[in-house]
Formats: sequence, structure tokens, C-alpha cells
Amino acid sequence: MEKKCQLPFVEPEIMSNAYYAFSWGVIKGNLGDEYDKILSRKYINCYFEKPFQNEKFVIATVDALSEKQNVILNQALNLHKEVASALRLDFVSMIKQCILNGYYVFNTCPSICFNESDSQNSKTKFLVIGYDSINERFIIKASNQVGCLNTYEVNDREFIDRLLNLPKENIELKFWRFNNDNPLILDLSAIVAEFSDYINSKTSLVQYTKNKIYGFEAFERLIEYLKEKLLLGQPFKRELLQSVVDHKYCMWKRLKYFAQQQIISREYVASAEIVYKLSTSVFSLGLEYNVIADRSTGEKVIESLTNLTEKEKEYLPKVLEELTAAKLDLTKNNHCNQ
Amino acid sequence: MKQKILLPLEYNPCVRMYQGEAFAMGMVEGNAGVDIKPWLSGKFINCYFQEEVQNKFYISFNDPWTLEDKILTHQCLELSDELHKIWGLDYIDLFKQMLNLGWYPSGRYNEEYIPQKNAFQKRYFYHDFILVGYDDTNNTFQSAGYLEDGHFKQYDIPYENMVKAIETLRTSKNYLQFWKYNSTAEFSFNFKRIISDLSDYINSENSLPHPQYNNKSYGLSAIINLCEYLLKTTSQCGYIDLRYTRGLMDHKYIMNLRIKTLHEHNLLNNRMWLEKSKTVYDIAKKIHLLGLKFIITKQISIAQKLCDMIYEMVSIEKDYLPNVLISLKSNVGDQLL
Repeated sequence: MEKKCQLPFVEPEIMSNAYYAFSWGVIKGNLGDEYDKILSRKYINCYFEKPFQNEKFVIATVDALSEKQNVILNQALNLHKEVASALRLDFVSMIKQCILNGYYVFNTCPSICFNESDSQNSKTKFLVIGYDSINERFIIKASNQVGCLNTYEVNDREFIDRLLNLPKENIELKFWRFNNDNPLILDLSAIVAEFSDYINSKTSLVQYTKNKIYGFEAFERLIEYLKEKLLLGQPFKRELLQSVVDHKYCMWKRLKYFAQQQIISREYVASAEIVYKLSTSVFSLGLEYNVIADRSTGEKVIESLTNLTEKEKEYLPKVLEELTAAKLDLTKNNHCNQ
Repeated sequence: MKQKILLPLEYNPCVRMYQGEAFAMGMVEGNAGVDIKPWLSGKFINCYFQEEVQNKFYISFNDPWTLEDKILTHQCLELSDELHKIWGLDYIDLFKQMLNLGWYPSGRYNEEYIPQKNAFQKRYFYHDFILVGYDDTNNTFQSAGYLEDGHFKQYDIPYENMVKAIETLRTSKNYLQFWKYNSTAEFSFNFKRIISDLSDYINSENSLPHPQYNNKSYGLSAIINLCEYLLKTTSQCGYIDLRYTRGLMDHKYIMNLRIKTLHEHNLLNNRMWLEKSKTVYDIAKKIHLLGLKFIITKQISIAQKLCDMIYEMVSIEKDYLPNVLISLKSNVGDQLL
């Protein structure tokens, strides 16, 4: 076995959820700029969910990992510790063999594994991207307390022991491998359907929809949520604000790609960039409000988010029109070529 | 390691329209050793129908594998053949080790390599399996399932056939699951669930977290849609899938058992409902027999009679079940809801 091995990983731009961030980092690490083709149909629609006071703003209505698109092959091990022990599984060796064969290893563990917290209750998602047998280390990406991804080098045996000693019956690991054979098709039908869902505040996907509000209405609900918090003098959830930035960043990147491919007019890229910049103001002002608890700052957050939503409502229906026209052209051409 | 082991399984489980349900209930009933009727009366209440998918009618979408009720426990390996090979995992050894620890291995295999199965030595057929034992004296696993004679029973799979049946799957990964009966399982009577699910069934709704399909119908409407589908396939194709008539029979058996249990708990005060549920169950048994008769005779009049009986069954349930629900709610009051 190789003494050292590290799989490709590029620091991701989206950070609202470590799961998305890791899959982004893996795909981008393997694909480089071609990632835009995959991004073009991801994170288009979104939803706001409020079950039991735990508000969520989710920018991946489906297939956050790109598994269904066959971009990442996802496999899972979820074994009872009693069984793992009876089978005499050597997880250190298994993980190293995985990495050597192109598999990243994903799971959640206590932040204490990376000395990020003293509490066993604080959890973090991690991705093992490499190993160093000489120094008996795993190279791991994990999010720190402020939501940024760090690279950690931890003793391999100690790390596995910590996972095995968690107060859970089972040991769970997921294995991701980038699929080099994916033809990366630009699926305009799926993109149009997602844009249409987003603009019409619905989903045409088969999923559990209770308590979920989609698309533009999700932003309206988010604004209401912020107003409620402001009224109560409570802080805004950082993850929700970060999701807005991520969503708008992806929209901007996506439209830029469509314009480069001459699928839509360039003017919309400028609109998307303005919206993205507004979202960064929402985020930074939101954090400021959380620190200083100043009502006028909170109001500015709501104002920026309202402006951002209005702006999108103005220009995105036109983008949808152009995408639909491009889809029809493509269908006609395909028909003629047959 | 032991030379042979055989884990308990009930080969005549109360629900067996599909193999999956039969595996789950077979493990539960085979291990329980206590009266499970109070618990069972809170299961298999609502049902759904969806024409576009392969298995169109289900009576078991609410925790069919009893994990939420903590009766069976579960672990899984969802791995590609490639990863199995990288790790050097040997399927035969893995299954035997698991069986030794009391875990039932289950998953998907290619029936082309499984003796006594319809597709054996004929064609690729992706299907579910469960293992209940192994025997090193003749190098076989013991499994249970529907065989080519149409019966759910135990059968043997030679070790090498089992490996071949998994390795020839045309899927990107294999789903291997391992089930174990929880020896401290409690078969409690879930009154709240009965009221909620029965209400959904009567009103043809679903209030459980479940993917929403536009064309999926629930409860009594699902049974009517199933009836329409059976009428269509029998008249147009001369074909009937007996799993659906079996499912109706299973559903009505449990409804009858539920009404009996509610009576025993003094939660229902009208004996007429007990008789009604028994009548419906008897009709469902006849419907299943008519299905068998249709397969042999292909007479459309039999299919028509079968469908008329489904409508009759629905009509009786529409008549008495809303009163059962009202009675349940009034007898117990709102404190449990």
C-alpha cells in the first residue's frame, strides 16, 4: 500500500451546509471548471421549512450530493458495533484502502475529535480525504465552530477509536467516489422545470412537502421569520443567512455559465450579480445585528432581503422564457437531426 | 464457528402480499412468543394505490419493518461489488457470521442462480431475499420466499449460487441489510395511532410523512382504484396479479382482528361492527379465491364478480367504520389525542 495518498478537493464557495460543501469540494476537485455544468442544474429551487420551531432554509430540494445524477457514487456502511467486532473489521486499514481507490469517507463526529470543542454534544461533519501512513495520520476536512472548513491531521487509530466509542449502537460511514464516466450532459428540460418551480413557488418533484414553502414564497416566508425575530429581539439564525448567500452565488454562477454558452442574454448575469451582492449585505448586516442587537440594523437586513427578492421577481421570469426557448430550439434541432 | 444454524421465522405470517412484508412479519411472529394482537391492531390500517409503479397496492407504508416500534433492529451495507473486493469481504463468511450473531441477512439477488425460483436458469431477475440459516454439512444457506409453486416457504441455496446471485446484479451497489429481533420488544397497544390511521383510511387521506404523488390514492379510494385497475387488466389482458387480492385479504384479516381487540379493550360497544368486519374479511377471502379461479378459467364474468365483491366490501366499510371511529373518539375522549 502507498505510504501517503490524498484525493483531490477544492475549497468550496458554499458553506451553509457541510454536506453540500463537501460534495462541491469533491466534484470541483475532480472536475475543475467543468463543475459549472453540474452547478447549472443544482440548487435552483429552494424551500423554507418550519417544523417544531426549527426553521430551515434549504437550497437543495433534491440530490444534494449529485448521486442521482450519477456524479458521485455513494455507498454506506451502517454496522452494529458487536458485528463489526465479530467480523474483526480494521477500520483504519479499510479507510486507507478506500482512499487509495478513490473513495472519500464521510460521517459526523463530536467536534472534540478535532479539539474544536470540549463538549461531546457538539457535532461536526467530516470528510476523510487522505492518509499518511508514515505519521499514522488521516487528513480530514471538517467544519469548525464558525462554520468554515479546516484541514485536520489526526492520529488514524485514535480517530477510529473515538468513532467506535460514541454512545451509539452502530458505526456508520459513507463512501463517496467521483464518477469519472459521467458524460456531464446539460439537461435543459430539468433546468427549465426547476426554474419554473422556483418562480411559481412549488415543486414538481416527488417528495414530502408538508411544512415546506418553495421558491419565491420561501423568501417571503424567510422575511416574515426575520421580522418575527426582530420583534422579539432575538438573533437571526446564521445558517439561514448563509443559505441566502449560497443560493444567490449559485444563481449568479449558473447564469454566467448559461450566458457563456449563449443560452441566455448577458444582461441577466449583471442582475444576478447585483442580487448576489445584496445577499452578502444581508449576511454581513445579519451578523452585525446578532452582535449589536440594534433594531435599525435588523431592519436593514429585512430591507435588503426584500429588495433582493423583488429584483429576482423582475428578471428571473425573463430568464425562464429564454431557457424555455433554448430548450425548444434544442428539441427541434434534435428532431431534425433524427 | 458452528456447523449449522436456523433462526426462527413464521412461514404463515399475517401479512404476505409481498415478500418484504412476509420477511418482516415472519421475523416478528417467529420470535415474539407473546400475544402480538394488541400491537398488530395498530398496524396495516391505511393503504395506497399508484398505477404507474410496479407494485401498485400497499397496505404497509407505515413502518413496515417495525423499526420505529423498536421490534426489529437493523444495520446495513450499501456497497458496490468493487468496495467489497477492496476490503476482501467474503459474502459466505459475512452471512454466516451474521446468522451466528442472530442477524437475518437480507437484500437483493439475481434469481437466475436460485434453485426453485421461477427465473432459475432462465433469465436475470432482480428480487429480494432473506437468509434464516446455514448448513456447512451440505454447503447451503436456508432462505424463505415465494417459490415457483406459489407458496411462501423455506428453501436451500448452495453457497456458490448465493455468491453468484449477488455478484451478477446489474446495479451500481448492493443493498445488504441485517435484521435482528429485539428481545425486549414491547407489543403495546397504540390507540392514538389507530384513531389517526383509521381516520386517514376512511377519509382517503394520508397525514404521515410520505412522499406526495399527485396520482397516489389512499384508504378506501385506493381500494376502489385497485378494483378499477383489476377490472381493466382482467378484461384487457386476461391477467390478474394475485398479490393484490392477497393484500386485500391480509388487510381485512387485520381489520377484523383490530375490531375484535378494540372490543376486548371495551373501546367499542356495538357488536354489529364485529360482525361487519368478519363479513368483510369473509368477502375478501372469496375475492382471493375468485382471483385464483380467474387465473384458471379466464372467464370475464368471474373478474366482474370479483370486482362487484370489492365494491360490496367498500360499501360495508363506508357504512360502519365512520361509526367505529366516532365511538373510539367518544369512548376515550381527547386526552389521548
